[in-house]
Amino acid sequence: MRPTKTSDVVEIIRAVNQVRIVGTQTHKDFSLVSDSSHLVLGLEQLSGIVDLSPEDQVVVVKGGTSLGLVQMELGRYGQCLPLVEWYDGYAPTNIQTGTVAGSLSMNMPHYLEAECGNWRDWILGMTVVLADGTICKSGSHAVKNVAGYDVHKLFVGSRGALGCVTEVILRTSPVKSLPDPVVRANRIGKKHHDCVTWIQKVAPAFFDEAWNNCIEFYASGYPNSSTIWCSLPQDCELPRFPGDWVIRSGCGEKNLQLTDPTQIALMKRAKAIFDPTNKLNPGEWGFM
Amino acid sequence: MAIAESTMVVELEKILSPGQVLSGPAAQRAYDCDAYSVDRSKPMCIVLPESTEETAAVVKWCVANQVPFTGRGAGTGLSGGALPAKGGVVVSTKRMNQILEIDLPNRCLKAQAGIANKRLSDAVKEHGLHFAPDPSSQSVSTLGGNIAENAGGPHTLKYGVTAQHILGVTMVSPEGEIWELGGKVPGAPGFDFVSLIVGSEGTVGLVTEAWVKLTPLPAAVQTALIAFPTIRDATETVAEIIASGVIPAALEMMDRGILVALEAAFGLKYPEGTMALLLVECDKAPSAGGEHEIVAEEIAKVASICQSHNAIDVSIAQNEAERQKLWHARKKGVGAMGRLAPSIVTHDGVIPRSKLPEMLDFVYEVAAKHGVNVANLFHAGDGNLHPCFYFDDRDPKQVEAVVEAGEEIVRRCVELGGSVTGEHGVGVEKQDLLPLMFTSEDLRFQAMAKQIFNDGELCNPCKVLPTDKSCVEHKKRWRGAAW
Repeated sequence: MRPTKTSDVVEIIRAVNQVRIVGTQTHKDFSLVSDSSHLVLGLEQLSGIVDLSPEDQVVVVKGGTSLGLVQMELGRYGQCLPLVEWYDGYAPTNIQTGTVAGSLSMNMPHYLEAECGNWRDWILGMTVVLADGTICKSGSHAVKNVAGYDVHKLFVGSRGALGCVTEVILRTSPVKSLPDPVVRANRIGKKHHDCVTWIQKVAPAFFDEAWNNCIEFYASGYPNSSTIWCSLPQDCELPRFPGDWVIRSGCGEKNLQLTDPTQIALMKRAKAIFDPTNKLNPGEWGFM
Repeated sequence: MAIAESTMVVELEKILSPGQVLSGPAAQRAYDCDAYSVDRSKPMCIVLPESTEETAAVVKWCVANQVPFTGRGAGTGLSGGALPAKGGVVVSTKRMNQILEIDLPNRCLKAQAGIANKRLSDAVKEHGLHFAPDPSSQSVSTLGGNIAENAGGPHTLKYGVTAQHILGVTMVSPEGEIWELGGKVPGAPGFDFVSLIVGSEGTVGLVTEAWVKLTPLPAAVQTALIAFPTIRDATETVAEIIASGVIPAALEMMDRGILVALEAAFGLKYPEGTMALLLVECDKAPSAGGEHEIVAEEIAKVASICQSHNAIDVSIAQNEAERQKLWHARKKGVGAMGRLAPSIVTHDGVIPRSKLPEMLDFVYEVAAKHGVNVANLFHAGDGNLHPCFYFDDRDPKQVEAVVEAGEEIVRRCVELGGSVTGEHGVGVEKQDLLPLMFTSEDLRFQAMAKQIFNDGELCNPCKVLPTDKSCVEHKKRWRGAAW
C-alpha cells in the first residue's frame, strides 16, 4: 500500500493488525526482519516539498520524499542536508534514493557527522501517525525552540517502531559550509557474494587501531567521526573497543545487538506506550 | 504527603548528614522560586547530596513517603522550572560540582550536574577546547540546569544548543533508580533517550552527571558592530546574511531603547542616527590552514550585505580588546535597562528569522497600542526575541498593559510559525500557552514521551504540560523574567 497523504496513512494503520512501514528500503539489509509476511506500507508516494525557506534554513517535506529530491530543491538555494554518500565497504551506496522518513528512522552514520551532526541535530519537528491512527505534531518551524518535549527526536533511529512519520521539518545547511570529507579507503581483498557490511563507531582515540583491523578488507573510514564501514565475510567479526557500537547488514538478528539493560528497558516502555499492540514494524528490534 | 516537616528533616539527615539538609523559614524562602520570581511555592526542606548515590537515596525516600521532589541547579532558570510547585523536597546539585574525568584524546569530559557551565570551558581552555553552549548566566548556571532547560546562548547559532553537546547522562529516575544513558561514542542504535531528556525541564528524573562534548576553540575570530538607521534595515539584513551562506558564530541585535540605556548607564555612545545595532561574530575552527583568510572573507561579505541595507557604520574589531568592547553593547544591555524603570519584564519568543522585520514592527505597534515602553536585545540569528518591557509595577494599569502586550507578542510568534519559548523553557510560566502551539492530541503525544520515564506525580510536578489539576496558582501578573 502506497498512501499519498497523511489521512490515507491513518486509514491503513487503523485497519490493520500489523504493518511494516518502509521507505525505499535502501537499508533493508540492516533490518532484523529479513522477510516480512506483514502488510507493507510504503511511503515513497507520500512525497513532496511542503515549504522551503532558505533564509530560515528550514525545509518542510513529506515523509516519503526522496533525499535526492530534497537535495536538488535545496541546492537551487545553495542549501543542503549535510549527508554524504557512504561506502558499504565495497561500493558507494547512494543514500540519495532513500526517503527522508526512512533515513531518519534508520539514522545510519554518515561521513560528516562530526562536523555537521546527524538527524537528531537537524530535525525541528514532525507529523506522525500513531499506532491508534492519531495524527500528532511536535516541534515548530523555528530553529530554536524549547516548548515542550522534543518527541520528534525519539523517532530518530526508532526504525518505525513508534509511529509513521508523514512530515518532517528540517534545518538545512549552506552547501559552501560543508567540509570536504577526507576518507580513508582500503581497496584490498574481494567482496565475496556473502559479504556483510560492518559499521563500527569507536571513541576517537581508538580509530587508528580499529582502522588497522580492516587492513585486509574492503573498507572505508572517516577519522573525524571515528567510523569505519567494512565489507566482511559472513562469519567474520572485527575486534571491539570500549564504548563502541556496531551495526551490520545481512546477519539477521546479529545486525543489531543491544545489550544495555537500561536502554532496553526504556525502549520496551516506550514501545508499550506508543504501540501497545505491537502493530508497527513488529520484530524490528528483536527484543520487543 | 502527610509527613511532618520535622520528621522529614530527621529522616533525610539519616540518609545524608545534618549539614546536607536545610529547613526553616529562611531556607524555604531562599528556595521558593528561581529567577522567575513571579510565582513562588515553599519547599518543606532542601537537600544537598554530593553524589548520584545520595541523590538516589533521597529520591527513594521521597517515593516511599509520597513526597514530591524538584531538582535545582543555580536557580537561574527563567520560567519556574526549579519552583517546588507542590512543596516537598528541593534536591539541590550545589555540592555536586566536580569534574570527574577529562578525556582529551576523545574530546569529552564528564562532570557532576552542579558544576557551573563556565568551569567546564575553563578546565580545558589550555588545551584549545571549550564547552560550546554559553548562556548569559554561564558563570553561575549549572550543567544540570543547562541540560534541563536545553540552554542556548549567543553562540548557538553556529554551535547549537546544549542538546548537541551532551553525549550521555547519569540520572536518578523518578523511582530512585540510577540510569546511565549514552556515552562517549554518540549515535548508538536504539531510541535516542538522551535527546529527549535534554530540555525536559527536570520532569523525567534528576540528571546527576553528564558526558559533554568538547569543541575546539576557534583559530580565527572577527567581530563587527554595525549601526543601522532603521529597525527594518537591521532585521532585513539578518535573513540575508544567513541566505548568503554565511553562518556567523553569533548574530545579535540591539535596538534604540537598549542604546539609550547603555548610554545612561555606562556612557557608551554610538553613531548619531543609530536605531539598531547588529553584532556579528564569524569564526573558524582550526583546520589545515587559511582560517584567518576564510573569516576575513566572511566578515567582509557580512559588511557588504550590511552596507547594501543602508548601514551607517561598520566597526570591525582589530584585536581582542576591541572585540570585548564591541561585545559590551550586548553583554551590558540588560543590566543597563535598570536605569530606565523600576521593573523590567523580558519575554522569550522565537520565530523563523525571515519574519523578523514584520515581527519587530508588530512588537513596536503593540507597545504603542498599550502605551508601554519596550526595548529589544536578542539573538537575531536564531529569530529568538527578547522584548524587554520597562515600567513601574506599582501602577496596576501599567502592569495590566504589560501583561496584555506580552500575550499578544507571544501569540504572534506562534502565528508566524514560531514558538512560545526559544530558550527560557515552559516551566510554570508558559504552561497555559502551549495549547497555542499544540492540539490536545499533540500534548497527549508529549505526555506519552514523558510517561516513558515518569508515570507519577512526584518528580517536579506541575511543569511543562498543562494540566487540569492546577497546583500552582499562577499569579499571571506578568510573564517573563522580572527584575
